[in-house]
Order: sequence, then C-alpha cells, then structure tokens
Amino acid sequence: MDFILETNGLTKSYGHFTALRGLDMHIPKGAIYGLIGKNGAGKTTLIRVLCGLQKPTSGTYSIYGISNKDRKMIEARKRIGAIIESPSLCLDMTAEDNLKEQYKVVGLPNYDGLQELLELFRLTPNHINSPREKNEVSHFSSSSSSLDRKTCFFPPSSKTGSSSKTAKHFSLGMKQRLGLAIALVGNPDILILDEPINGLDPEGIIEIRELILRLNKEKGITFLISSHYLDELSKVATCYGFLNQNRIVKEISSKELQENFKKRTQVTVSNVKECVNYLEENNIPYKVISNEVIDLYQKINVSEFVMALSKRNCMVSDFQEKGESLENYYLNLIGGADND
Amino acid sequence: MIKLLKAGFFRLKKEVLFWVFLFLTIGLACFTLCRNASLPYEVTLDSFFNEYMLYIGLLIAIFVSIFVGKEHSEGILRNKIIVRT
Repeated sequence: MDFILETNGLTKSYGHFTALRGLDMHIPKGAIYGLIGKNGAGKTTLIRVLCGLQKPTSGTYSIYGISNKDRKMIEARKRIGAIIESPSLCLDMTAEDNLKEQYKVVGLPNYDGLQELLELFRLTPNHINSPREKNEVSHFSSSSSSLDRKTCFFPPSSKTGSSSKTAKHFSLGMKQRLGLAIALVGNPDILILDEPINGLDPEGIIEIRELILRLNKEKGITFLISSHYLDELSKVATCYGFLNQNRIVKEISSKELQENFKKRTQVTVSNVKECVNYLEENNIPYKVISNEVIDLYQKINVSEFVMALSKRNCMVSDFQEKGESLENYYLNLIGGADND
Repeated sequence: MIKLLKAGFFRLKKEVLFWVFLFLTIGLACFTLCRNASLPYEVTLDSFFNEYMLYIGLLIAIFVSIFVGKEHSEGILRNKIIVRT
C-alpha cells in the first residue's frame, strides 16, 4: 500500500516522562485517518512532532517517503496543513484578511483562489451576515467595540467585498471553518486536525464533517484527525489508529472494523425462560439482557424461531439487528490492552 | 524571512494600535517642537532629540510587546513554524 505518512518507532520523552513510546503509524494516501486515544495518550504530541513543532527523541517519521532526517523534509512539510489545539487566527482581522496573511506567510505571489476558499467555507459577507451566523455574531458584538471602529477605518476591499466582522466576533464554528480555510492555503495534500469539532454545536459538527468529506473526495486530501467523538469520527474515517499507553495498539481500516464488528440480534420476548430453553437446545449463543430482552450472537431463521417460541407460549414482540459501535470496539481494545 | 516580513507588515497595517501609536508619536513630535520653539531661550538639538526619544522608546516597547505577544497567544507563531517559511 502507498503510505503518505509513516512513523517508525517514534519516541518522544520529556525528562523522565515518555509521551510517545516506539509509535508505528501508517497513513495511506487519500485516507481519512482517525486517531483515537485517551487524554494524555500522546495524540497531540504525535501531531506536534509530525508538524515539526517538536523533535522526536528517537525513531523516525516520513512524509511522502522523505525521512525527517532528510533536509528535503522542509519541502515535504510544506504539503501539510494543520490545526493544532485551536485555529491560528488573528482575532483583530476579518476572515479575508486572515486568509490574505496566510497567503503571504506561504509566499504565494497573488490571492488566486481566495474567493473560492471564502465561498467553500461560507465566510463571504453574505454568509457571515446570514440570519444564522448573524445571530451568533450579534450575541458577541452587541456592544460596539473599538475593533468595529477599527474595521471602519480600513475600507473593505471592493474586489472581494470583504466583511467588516473581525474573527474575534465569530462563533466557534466560524472560527473552526476559518482555521480550516487557512490550513488549506497553498493546496496541501495532508491536513492534520487536532480535535476539530471540540465545542461545536450539532450544526457546526455536521458542517465540518461535510467539509472534510468533500475535501477528501474532491481534492483528494489525506486527513489525520484526532478526536474523542467516536461516533462522529466513525462517520468520516476510512482508517483508525488506536493509541494507548503512548503507542499505537491497533491500526484498522473501517472496512475491516465493520467485518470485525460482532453482529447481534436483540429480541424482546414474553417468556425469557422458554426462550433460553429453546436457544440452549439449538446451541445458539445468547446473552440475557433483562427479563424481556435477549441478545443472540448467531444468524437465525426468524419465522422458525418465532413459530418455535409460540409453540412454547412465548411471544416475540420485537426483533432488532444491532452492530457493535466504534465506542464498544475501542473500549474492548483499550480494556484488553490495559489488562495485558 | 522575506515572506514573514511581508506577512508581518500586512498585519501591522491592519493593527489599530499601530496607527494609534503612529499618530501619537507624530503628535508628540509636533508638541515637543512647538513647545521648544516657544521657549525664550535656545534649545540644543541634542536635548530636544533625547527628550523626544525617551517617549518614543516607551511607546515602541509597549507596542512591540503587545504586537508580538498577541502573535504568540493567538497561535499565529505556531502556524508560521508549521508552514516553515
């Protein structure tokens, strides 16, 4: 498989404390890699090392096959965009000005694509002044501040029609969107997002999720996302890396994960005792959940099952197929690893 | 480095404090000039210059600490390190 980002025995220590312990990670090209782990498992340290904010104590990592010990790594890292902990925004500037500054930092000769970015991330004046965003913004800007007066001092750009709302007055969702837009300046191939949906409202979470999926599909951007929202992560990720005790304990694709999920059928019956007798006789694995509900861990013929139970004066009132969630898988995995 | 300077100047132009302090220093210079011109005795260039520089140094120290501190606290510096300009 073609890996865009790899780490081999990556270790990071701070004095006697080891934040990463021989970590091996493999991110395939075009994947959305979900990094899952407890607080303090080393997710942010790993991201900081990959972004060049910290040097590894030992071990190596490579981006596009270029090792961190190679001088070409500086060039390779230019293909990375990142949001670490919180979006890097200049709060006194508008969304457009923040993007313009990033264009200058990256060293782009002109502002080509700026308007597209503003449109894509719904940061144009029309979007910012839309009823939903206005409600969020007006809450913060009810009292006219010096910053509002400041933006009046500088006339808005006629070319792109910039909004006078500074990033300070943005909602968390808008800030996150702007952070993503900034990370995308320079067309990076890899985007590293550390807790991108922390503190967002449901609508904000959906927006960020759709943006990630869209960028992955349309631009082929590879994502490395660390998050504690497992349910949300399972909706976008194509691969998972489970981090525990400062190392990756399991790497698995979402397809493999689905196959590994233990399917179960939950039935609600009127007579649990009779149902258990039937299951015992037919060697069907089961687990009694309550005095009405039983989980079956084998595919069964529904009509046969219902008819057999009705002969035993046991009525089936509900029948549901259930799959194990990512959360259960993670808890079983981490629980198992902890017990090792 | 040139990229960082360009980005820095861009941010400087948008910084309200920069314009406030700029007009303040111009105002201060005019005030010092007028005050010294109205004095009944002659003032040497040295004393005029040193008196003015004291205030300018103070204003620059305040401005730079706020400007650079903001860059650090808002994570803009972290972003620049990641981009590796």
